[in-house]
Amino acid sequence: MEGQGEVRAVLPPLARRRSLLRGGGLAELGSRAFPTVLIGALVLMIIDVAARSGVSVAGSQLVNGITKGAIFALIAVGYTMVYGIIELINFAHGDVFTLSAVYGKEIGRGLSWIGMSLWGVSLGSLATRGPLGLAAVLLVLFPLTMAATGITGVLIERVAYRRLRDAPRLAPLITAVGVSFILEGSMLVTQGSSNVRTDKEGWIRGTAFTAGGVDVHWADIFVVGMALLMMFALQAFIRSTRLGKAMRATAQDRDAALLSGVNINRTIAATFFIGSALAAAGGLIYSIFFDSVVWNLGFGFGIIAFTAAVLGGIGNIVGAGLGGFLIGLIYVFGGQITSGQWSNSIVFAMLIVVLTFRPVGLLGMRVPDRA
Amino acid sequence: MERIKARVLPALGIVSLAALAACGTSTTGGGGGNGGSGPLSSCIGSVTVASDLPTSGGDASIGGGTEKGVKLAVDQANAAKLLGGCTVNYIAKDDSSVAKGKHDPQQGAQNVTSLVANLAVVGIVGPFNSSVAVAELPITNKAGVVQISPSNTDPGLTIPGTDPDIDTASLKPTGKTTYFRVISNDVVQAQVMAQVAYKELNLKKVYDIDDQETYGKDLSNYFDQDFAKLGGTVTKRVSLPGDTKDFRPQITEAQGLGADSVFFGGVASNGSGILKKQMSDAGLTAQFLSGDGTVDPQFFVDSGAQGDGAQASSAPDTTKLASAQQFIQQYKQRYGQDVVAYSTYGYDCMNILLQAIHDVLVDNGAKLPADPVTFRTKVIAKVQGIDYKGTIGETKFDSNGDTLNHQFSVYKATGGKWVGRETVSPSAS
Repeated sequence: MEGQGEVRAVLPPLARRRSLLRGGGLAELGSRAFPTVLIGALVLMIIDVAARSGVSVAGSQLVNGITKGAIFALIAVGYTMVYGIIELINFAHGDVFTLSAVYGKEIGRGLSWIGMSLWGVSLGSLATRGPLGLAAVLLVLFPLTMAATGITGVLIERVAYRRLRDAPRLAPLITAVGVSFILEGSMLVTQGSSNVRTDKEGWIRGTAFTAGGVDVHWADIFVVGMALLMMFALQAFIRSTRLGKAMRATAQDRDAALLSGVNINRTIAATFFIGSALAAAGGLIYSIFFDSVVWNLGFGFGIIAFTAAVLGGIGNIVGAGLGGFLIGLIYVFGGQITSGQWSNSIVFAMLIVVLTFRPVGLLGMRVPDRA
Repeated sequence: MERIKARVLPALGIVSLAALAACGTSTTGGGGGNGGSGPLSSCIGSVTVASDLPTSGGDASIGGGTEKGVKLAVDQANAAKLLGGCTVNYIAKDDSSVAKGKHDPQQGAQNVTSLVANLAVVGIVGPFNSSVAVAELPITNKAGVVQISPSNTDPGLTIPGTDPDIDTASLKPTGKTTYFRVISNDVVQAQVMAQVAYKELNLKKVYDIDDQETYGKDLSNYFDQDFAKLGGTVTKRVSLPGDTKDFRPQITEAQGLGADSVFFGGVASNGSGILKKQMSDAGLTAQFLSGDGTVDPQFFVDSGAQGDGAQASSAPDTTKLASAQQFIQQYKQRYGQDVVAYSTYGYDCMNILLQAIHDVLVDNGAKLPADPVTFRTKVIAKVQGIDYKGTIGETKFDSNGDTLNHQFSVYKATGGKWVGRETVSPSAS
């Protein structure tokens, strides 16, 4: 396959990297010990916070970290899917996430307007009227926003990446950065430079239960439940549908898949659709949680989610989900221990450590085994 | 238009001189100086003053409105014959550049270089922005020309060691104070807020968050110091990047620490409204405190109805001061517009400069000092020693050039608006 040479230059295949690791004792030790060290460090951080600030604070931070991680996880899945199938780090993905929050805002406003003129009741206000109203909105708003964002993802692939599929790897990487700037610029122009409300104020509020002094809000349950649901659905889709099988085939060997009758263009487009739609779920969850979006939101979120994908093993969907949750916890606990100043630094130091000692990530790269 | 003034004014002065000679009376303008019949009636010639403010681009409305205040002071001084037989020439410079579309330190440096090279110029009002001041001060200090700023609040401009980004000594190469400002700095602001928090609002345990920018970090540092000095406890100080959107970990921590207040050292665009909203969402009832960077409509865009109750310090709302009412009316009459936040400050700056020139001329027997360097030096000494009662209250300067008028207002978020609650000066501590 053309382009394979360049890929090897950047990221050697799993087998060769393993043999490289076997060569160096220290590196191999680091690689083996990495998951233990990581989990151990995280547990130590949690114990430290619990000892210094109390168990209920540590418990609340656990909730904060997991909910933050759920959003990272949903974005990370998009990075990992695209990497798994065309070996491209889609740097525009973070901005697709931001764009989805903007779509969610506009679609919500449109629905409110239609709702208001049809039934005299705004859909937005329905959401505040208990679980039934909320369910109605979720069944309309989520699919519409996810579809709109998915289509945008497909268009980006069609315009910016498809023609460069067989070009040297640097070319689509640069267009990805370009697409990122275009998306950020257009949001800057249309939404302005300040934070914008997403009109999801008070959608899911209230405390579900209190355990050991830790308040768990309905929104927390919603976020984590939604993220897990999406990821399990995706996993099932890839395992058991025809299109999922085509994705796996394309990821393993694009030429062979083409020879066996897989429509490569359609399969790759589907990958972008699903990855972007999941980012949209993340964007909507973010809007419901924080009720605010700003044009460059996706830059920081994107890079952290990318780190989550690398931590889990780039190309590995389960790994991306796991990485997202872990990074969320590391961010929150590391942030508290270092007074916030080092939250980002800790996450990116993590990226360097992973790439140095365990480039395959926690669960192993699934390239080219599985999408 | 505004640059034509310099050529038109002497002519205006002559006309009004003639008018004065004819009727022998004069009205005292906002300058509050002597009439033409005073000790300077025998003065012959003209004196040149200047301003350097951002009057185009993004700062046009605030900088332009400040310049209008400055210009009104000059016009009133000429009309009222503040300098007797001598007239005041005025040069207006704009430190916005096309390249930046707003205030530009490089443009400012270029402006003051040309102003100090003009030996007729005895003093400059400006600059507006602290970053421009950093570029300009060494130039005017070396040349020995006085600069009076209406709006610079960075403490590092005058007090060494208060802003790690500014080498205060390098702004004063001659070691002499030539730069003055009529507005208090952030050290005083934090002092006021700490006092209000501790004594008036009865808050004892603060959780302090800054936005990692120079302004925010410094403000938080000063607040922490003052709050602790009064007897309060700073339970924790955290520093978050400006793009932070999720403050829940910090809110959880503040709750765990039992903080009764949260101070945000930073600007509204770095999330003060988001923080306030998330505090309400999380059920944290601690009082939200902040500085002038938060007194901004953006705060309510982010916080919505949950912004209410927040309190923050900012420069005094001069439109409410009795001493400013006459000027506010005159300004409206002259320009058909309302004053902007710093119009009164600009007006007082120019009046202080003109008063200092007046005093030099009186000392010199109603004659312009022959040597421009001597003239400039004498004006600096008079500004240093001034005691001026103007629109913003009484202005006197300490040896660093900072005003001794330490008033700040406390604003409270009420119904989606910042409402001035009270004006306070810090008590000595």
